[in-house]
Amino acid sequence: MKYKIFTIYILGIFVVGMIISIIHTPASFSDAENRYLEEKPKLVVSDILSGTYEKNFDKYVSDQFAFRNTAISLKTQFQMLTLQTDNSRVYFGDDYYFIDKQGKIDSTKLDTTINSINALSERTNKNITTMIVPSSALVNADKLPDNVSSDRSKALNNFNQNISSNINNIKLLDTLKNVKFQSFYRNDHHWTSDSAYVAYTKWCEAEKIKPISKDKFKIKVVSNDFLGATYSKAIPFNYKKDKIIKYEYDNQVSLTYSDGTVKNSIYEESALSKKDKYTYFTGQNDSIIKVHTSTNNGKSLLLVKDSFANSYLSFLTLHYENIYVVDPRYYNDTRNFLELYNIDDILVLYNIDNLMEDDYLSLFLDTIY
Amino acid sequence: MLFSSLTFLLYFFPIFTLLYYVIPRKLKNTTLLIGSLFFYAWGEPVYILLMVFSIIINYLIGLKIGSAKNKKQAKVYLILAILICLGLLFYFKYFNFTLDLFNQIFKLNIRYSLVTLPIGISFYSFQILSYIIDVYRGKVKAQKNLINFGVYVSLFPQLIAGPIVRYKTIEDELANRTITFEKISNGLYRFVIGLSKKVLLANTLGSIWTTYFNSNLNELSLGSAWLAIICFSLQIFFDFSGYSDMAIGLGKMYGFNFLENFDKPYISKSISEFWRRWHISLSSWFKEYVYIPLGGNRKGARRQIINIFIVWSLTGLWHGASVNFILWGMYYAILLIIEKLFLNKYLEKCPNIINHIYSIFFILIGWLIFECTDLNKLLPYISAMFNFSNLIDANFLYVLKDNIVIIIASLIVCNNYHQYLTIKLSNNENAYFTFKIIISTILIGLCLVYLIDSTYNPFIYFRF
Repeated sequence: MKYKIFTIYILGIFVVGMIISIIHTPASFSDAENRYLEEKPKLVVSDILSGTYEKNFDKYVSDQFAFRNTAISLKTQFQMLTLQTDNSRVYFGDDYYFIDKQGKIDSTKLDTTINSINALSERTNKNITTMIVPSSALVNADKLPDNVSSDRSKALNNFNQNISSNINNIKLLDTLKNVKFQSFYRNDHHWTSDSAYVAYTKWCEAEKIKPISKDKFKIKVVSNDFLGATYSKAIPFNYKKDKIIKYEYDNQVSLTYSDGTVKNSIYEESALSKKDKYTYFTGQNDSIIKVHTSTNNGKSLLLVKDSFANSYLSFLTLHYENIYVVDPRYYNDTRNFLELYNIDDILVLYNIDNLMEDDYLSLFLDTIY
Repeated sequence: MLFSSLTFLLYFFPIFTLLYYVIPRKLKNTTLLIGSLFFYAWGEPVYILLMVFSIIINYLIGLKIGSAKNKKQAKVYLILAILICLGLLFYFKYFNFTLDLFNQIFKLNIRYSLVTLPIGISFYSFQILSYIIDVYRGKVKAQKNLINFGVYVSLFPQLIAGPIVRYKTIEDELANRTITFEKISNGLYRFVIGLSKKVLLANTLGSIWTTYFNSNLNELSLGSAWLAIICFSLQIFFDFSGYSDMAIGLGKMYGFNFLENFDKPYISKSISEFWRRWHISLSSWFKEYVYIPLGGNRKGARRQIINIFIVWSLTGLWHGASVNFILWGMYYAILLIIEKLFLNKYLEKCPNIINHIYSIFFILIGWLIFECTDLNKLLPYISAMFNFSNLIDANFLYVLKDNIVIIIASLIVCNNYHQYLTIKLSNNENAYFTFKIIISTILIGLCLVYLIDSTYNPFIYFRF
């Protein structure tokens, strides 16, 4: 009798799993993973013979598993129970910080990029500024598990040492380490608007202009329930939601996106009802955004950047009439860029993690003059 | 198809099993054959032709040997079968490797053929050989039923990763087997245990090993080097014995009794003992069909040493077409010869702990050779293991602490220490039953969760 019960019960688990898997309606897009999921492959003889069909079917079964997100949460929970402190995607840090785990350090790309920036400074007389934002793992080293240290500090040192002295290089690591507010989101790899403001004051210092003081801004909480990219890499049961704030200033801007859309605000209100709320700042990454502001000084800035600059852009609008925001990953119409747009200043704003893995920035900088 | 894939666990396994149970007894073997061929074809359909060819040709040769008028005629067929089996195995597994060696030695540049290794060919070729040789020796009767013979060769539970089932082990069961709920439930439990060894332990330990092994070996600390190779030796054990557990479990569910393939190898007190406990079906195959026919230990000490070298070079080569596998085999040949010649006498006098340390040390070094398909990594790794100027680093402390529960659990499970718990429980039938139900549920759940997680791939901010 016992054997019968055991057999029926255990086989039943697999059968139920199969039934759930079959009747579950496939979704085409995963919000948590921010990617398209594998769809049921079509039965084509040549695909079956080459093994492609079988491979895609395996992916499909896993991608479309009904309780996929719950499964990830359960794994995270089990790992925490067994005292593990990372899941090879993120560290489970103190105080509900989920911090990206970084791969092996490889400085070849970084070296190329540094050379390109230095070369640009020799070829043009434009005022070039670099602002390399450290990653959460560096700034929040105290939140990481014991014995973990981010080797990205080596990369950052490498950059600081080898960047030409003609360039205004703004260093942020020590500043951000010593601030009293939350410098990075718990659930995302991006920095908070407060950090961006501090970086702005450092930038003003370097550019020898007077920063607009904090009390001149209307500081507003725009979301109380931000769960970003690093959250999605673990989907933990226990977490603390992040607040997104914005520094609003009474000036006019108009943003022209690469597809011709014109908007009169840096902020994308619709993003707040979506999963990826960081896109509240300027929306999805675009190849080029042309920003025109009410700052009537005739000055033009080229901002070469990754997504860390999106929450920083609003401060720049206070000092330039025209800003050309370029994401080199998507932009390739580079020739004569500096002349064509009458650029006065160039600001390179990247996060160190992205910078290290980036090929496009140096390609872009090598071809814009 | 792999047992540790969701396609197998959520589709093939439940559908096939239910089908197999409801189908009338007469058709069970046909069902098994079709199911096995489907299982094999999943992902690599072309090689099914090779398998079907092997089944038919060896079936016919088997019949011929069985009905041969004299020993001489039988021998001709035997040699023919051996040539076909080993020829195919050589072509698909060792041809490019041999070409590569030739090219290097004679500075030639012969082009490679584009064959890929058919999954399981090393296992099923050996099964076929054992059948043919045993028919020739008169130990078993030739199988008259093509379907039954096809089932023996292609039986999916052990098709991909063993154990190498000898024909005589399941000869009777091919024709006649009983399936009871007791067997099914024991088989299911064994399957779940094997699956968990593979998914929960082996995969986790494996990722520790690969991270270290692919890092800069010159910077590896002594602690990390040892931790990593220990993780690898646990990984390969759980990977392999997990597969054997799943095979034995599935076999039971469908009415077959395969022999055990692993018997707590890491408790061994000598290398000879290790090889009596590790991958038993392979070492006994080589003993039965190579070592003993070569004369074994009956033709004097010198001949025995040569025989040991031959057998172990072949054993090494069986594991893969690469120089390091041959080295690995020779390494064990040397150790076994040393033990036979004189070391055993001293080992017997030593306390157990010394014997254990001695065995584990050489087994670990053995696994390192086994893993160094790039032989350039071998010396840097070994020197890291003895680099007393770089004992431990922060990363070692982190990885050890991060995985301490998994590592301790692995050490307990690999030597079966958890049996003390289950033996106590098994005195109380009800408690043991409840325990098995609970532990199986948890393990199946965790395995599914881990398998899903392994394909979880957040691709934030880049939509392609």
